[in-house]
Amino acid sequence: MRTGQARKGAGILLIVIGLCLLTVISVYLLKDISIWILGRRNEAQVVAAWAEEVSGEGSTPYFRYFVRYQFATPHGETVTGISAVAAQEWAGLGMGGPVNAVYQEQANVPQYGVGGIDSGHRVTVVYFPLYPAHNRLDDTRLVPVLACAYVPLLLLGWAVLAGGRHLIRQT
Amino acid sequence: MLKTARRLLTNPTSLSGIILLVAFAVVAAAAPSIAPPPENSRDPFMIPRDGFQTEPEGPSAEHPLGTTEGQYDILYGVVWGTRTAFRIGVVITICTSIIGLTVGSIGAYYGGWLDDVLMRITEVFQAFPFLLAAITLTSVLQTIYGRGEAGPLMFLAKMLAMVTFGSNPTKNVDPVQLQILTGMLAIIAFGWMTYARVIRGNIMVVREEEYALAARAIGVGHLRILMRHLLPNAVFPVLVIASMNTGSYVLAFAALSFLGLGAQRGYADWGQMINFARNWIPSLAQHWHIVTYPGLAIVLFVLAWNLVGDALRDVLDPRMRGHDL
Repeated sequence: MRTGQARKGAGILLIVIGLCLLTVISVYLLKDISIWILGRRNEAQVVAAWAEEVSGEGSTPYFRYFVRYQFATPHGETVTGISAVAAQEWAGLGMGGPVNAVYQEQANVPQYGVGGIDSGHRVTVVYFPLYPAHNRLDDTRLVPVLACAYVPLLLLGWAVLAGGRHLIRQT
Repeated sequence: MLKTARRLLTNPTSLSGIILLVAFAVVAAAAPSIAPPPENSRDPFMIPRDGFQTEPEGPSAEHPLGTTEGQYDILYGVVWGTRTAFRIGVVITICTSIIGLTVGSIGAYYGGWLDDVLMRITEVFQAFPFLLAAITLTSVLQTIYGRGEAGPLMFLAKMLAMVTFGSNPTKNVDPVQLQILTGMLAIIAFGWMTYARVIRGNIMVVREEEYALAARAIGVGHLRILMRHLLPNAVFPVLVIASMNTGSYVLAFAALSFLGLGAQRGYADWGQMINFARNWIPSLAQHWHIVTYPGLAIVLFVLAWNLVGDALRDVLDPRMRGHDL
């Protein structure tokens, strides 16, 4: 009797976890799909670009790169967005100057160059037409990888739900 | 089980592999004693530097194995790199085995269109050259993670970080660890297919055995038949492959690090340490130590897993029993 109750409890817990997981995944999926399928591309102007050091004292410096961009929708609305970019992308965006944290060892002292800020540079962004504030740097080329990442998580959520259902049915 | 253990311990091949692995495990466990991290160190996996001079220094009393370019201590890197190698090798092996076992066993057990679909997916993944695919995926993932957007990939990275580094999944992943995770995810994505093919073949054989048919006849559930009756009788070859692949995964990750895609500069990782030797290839006769020690560590680590895998295969394969190994 006690084992049965424990199984039922575990089953309910698994179903709750599975539902939570699937809900979170669905929200992310909806946000992504709204951009991937209905998203509209536009040219945006970089209004600021900067690098921030995120490493702590005593460790090798690690930088994160950001751009603030602005674009106008066909309805005349001006939208501003901020996006972090990878170091490689920072180079690809043509920000000029030393791309990554450059290590200048010749001077026997570490110096870190973060690249010249290149305001006015144009980048492609993609936005959801009904709600332009939902926008991001164009990630069309990354869609296959981003979409594939949903598969294991959806399977995991489904497996947790199935496990919970199995436990409840056993009682 | 005891018999298998005895066979492994009396077999010179497996014994040498096991001794090597135990030695590496001891080095990994005793890393804080063999190479204590500096007092102000935030992350013990970051190799301490003794200055910023470009030219590597040879072995000395202070640095028994010398220093690389940028004065990173080689002994420290090799010792702490053992922990990195174990973490990476074992976690990738576990993840790839789980994916491969799931895909292969479901395909083999249910058969039909499901098997066809799963095996075609497996073949698509197999069609890519492993290292090239891993390199490409790593760079793509680094671009995605560089944007820092929360999403399914970040969720996967947090899960993997929890398993690999024991980090808290509710907090942001450390950027240094995130770079390692991208390489691991890429290797996992293209490293599970062998397990799927092997377990599929084995399950197709054992599912026709009488005990499996009997279990089905008395109405045992599919999941129970698969987990309790089929998998335990079909999984041994996968253990052998897993053991042999652990070394290969470490080697693949070292290749990524060598190309600057795996661990971050200064992180205790053997491949990344060999990367320091890239600028010194013309003068390796003079600076031999920068490539010898991390290189030797990789060779011995991979050799150890291969020897254990080889011996496991010989011990577990019924056709090899009774033969001199």
